[in-house]
Amino acid sequence: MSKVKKQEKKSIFFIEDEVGITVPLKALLEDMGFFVEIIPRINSKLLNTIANKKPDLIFLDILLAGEDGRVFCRHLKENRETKMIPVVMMSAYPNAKESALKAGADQFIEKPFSVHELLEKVDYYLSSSNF
Amino acid sequence: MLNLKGTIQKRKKIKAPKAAFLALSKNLTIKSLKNKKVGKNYKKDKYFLFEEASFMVLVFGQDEARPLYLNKLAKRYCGPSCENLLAPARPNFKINPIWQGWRKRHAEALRALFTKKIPMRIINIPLHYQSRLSSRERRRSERYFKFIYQPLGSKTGPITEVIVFGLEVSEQLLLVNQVMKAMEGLREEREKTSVILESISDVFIAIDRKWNITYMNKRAEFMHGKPQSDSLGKKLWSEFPIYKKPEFANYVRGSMQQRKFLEFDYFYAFTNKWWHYRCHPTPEGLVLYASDITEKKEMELQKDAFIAHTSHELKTPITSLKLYAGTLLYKLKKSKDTSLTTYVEGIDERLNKLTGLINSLLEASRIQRGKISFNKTKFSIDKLVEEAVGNIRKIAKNHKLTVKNSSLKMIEADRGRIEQVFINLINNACSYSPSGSEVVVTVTAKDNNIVVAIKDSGIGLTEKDKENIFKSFYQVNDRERKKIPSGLGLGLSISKNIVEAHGGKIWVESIHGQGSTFFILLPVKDQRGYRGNNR
Repeated sequence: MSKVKKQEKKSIFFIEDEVGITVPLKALLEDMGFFVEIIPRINSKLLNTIANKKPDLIFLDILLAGEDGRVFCRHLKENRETKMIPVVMMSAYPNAKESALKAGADQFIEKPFSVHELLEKVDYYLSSSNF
Repeated sequence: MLNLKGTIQKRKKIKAPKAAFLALSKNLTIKSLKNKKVGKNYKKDKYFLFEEASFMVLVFGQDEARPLYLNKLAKRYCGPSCENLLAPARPNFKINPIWQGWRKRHAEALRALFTKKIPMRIINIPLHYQSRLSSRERRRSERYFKFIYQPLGSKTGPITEVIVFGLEVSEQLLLVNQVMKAMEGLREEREKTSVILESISDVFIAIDRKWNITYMNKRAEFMHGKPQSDSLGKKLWSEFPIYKKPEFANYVRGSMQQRKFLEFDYFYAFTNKWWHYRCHPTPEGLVLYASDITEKKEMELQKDAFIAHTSHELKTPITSLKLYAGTLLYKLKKSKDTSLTTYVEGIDERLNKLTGLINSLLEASRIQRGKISFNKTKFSIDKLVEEAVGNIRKIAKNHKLTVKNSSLKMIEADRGRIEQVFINLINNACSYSPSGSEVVVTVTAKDNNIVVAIKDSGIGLTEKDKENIFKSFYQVNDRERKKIPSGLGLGLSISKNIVEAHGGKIWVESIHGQGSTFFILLPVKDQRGYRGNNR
């Protein structure tokens, strides 16, 4: 992992407001050689930021403080710059899966998930990773 | 009622007296009466034929108070001084008040007959008759008589005598009274039922087999906004088009056609109310009984919302804990420090169990309310059972799992849900039977049904267990093995709901201490056309 050069690092964005989830994930994934950015809030500039930074994978929570992740997902998928970025939506409501996929999410992961389940998703989209 | 009375009177009317009367008026001797024992002491007058008759015979001249002749029976019924019985009341002379009542009518009748105002008269009177069965025993009984007044004399000439036949009609009247009473009772009962039905706050509609409305109570009137008088005799479907909706009509038609009790919940968007409908097939047709369950539904919704919210709130910290544990495990493995990994794995395992509990709570609440939709596909039942057993084999390594399948059938159902049921039952069988024992899963096809039997040689079930085992939160107490029940006791309740939602049945046969066999019956294809509870 140490061999992975910084410029080759795959970047993963976590749009999630729960610190208890983002802290261990950031620690784990960074340790595995990924560039991880935590975004606790959806705001008007976020779409632009993502379009500029072009992460390789986005994990998006459905229920963020006051915001619906599905609406943002739709914006992402409608934008020419960002629509190619795979989006994995997360929720503790199992029945949210359908609406998440409808909103354009590529995959859905139900909370609570294990590290293993999360890494499966990461591996699926960023298959060059070597965990 | 009138008919009955009419026929009785008509039949009894004259038959016997008429024959005798005819014989008398034509001065004929009735041969049949010759054989009767006629006492030597009887005067051989023209009325002797009546002496032994089974009805009263009284003959009156112009004087209504003094009969010219009374036969044996008339004397008996009219008491010892019968000749005077009809005389005006004298002091110290007791006359039955009913006889007194008769006396007036009797006098009127005689007068009318003698003046040829009427050809004949019939008077019905009750007579309280005191019979002496023995010297000690006295019995008062009420007898009813019909008196027929027949004038005698030539058609053109004056009327000389009036012959009165007194026929006892007690039996007939008693019968009539009994029937009347029964009818009254029935009417009262019907009225009572009607009062009950009118007063209840539930909707009650009765329909005949041709879907005509035969009865509806006040609440039904109110709910549909139509008076009873307008709707009676009309077709249910035309009168209340709201019932044509498939979520309603399918149940009602199903109940009528299959003669089966069905119940379902229905939401009236118009009034914003939930109704719980029960369809009872009756010999005449069908009875629809609906109660307002809006409050209950609201409570259920609140409960669901509470469970959903709580489980969501619980799941978030669990996710966090799982990720911390996972990250820690990763780091420990990376640093090749194996001394702590088992502890972290332990944390992870317990967290998975906690997640399972929360999920089953959420699922039970959703399935019970019919909120889960089933994704039905066609699949081989044998293969599914093999798969489920295969999954359990990985966990229950101490049990011998055997599959005997011979169904070779494809069934249409939600594969995932049915697998969940099998896994649940096989898992239970393993956890409630001793290590090393055998669990046998048998799949058989019967007509258009599949029966899966899961047999264990475990602790078995008591009668109480058998009664309650499919209820939510019920757990079998395994005292002998001092096993503390794990889980919430929702597995079998969820399984039952899943099986029933597929139109199937689930039941258990067990002898305490000798193991249990759980049976699941599933139709190859759910042909009910409607979904829901059918008890």
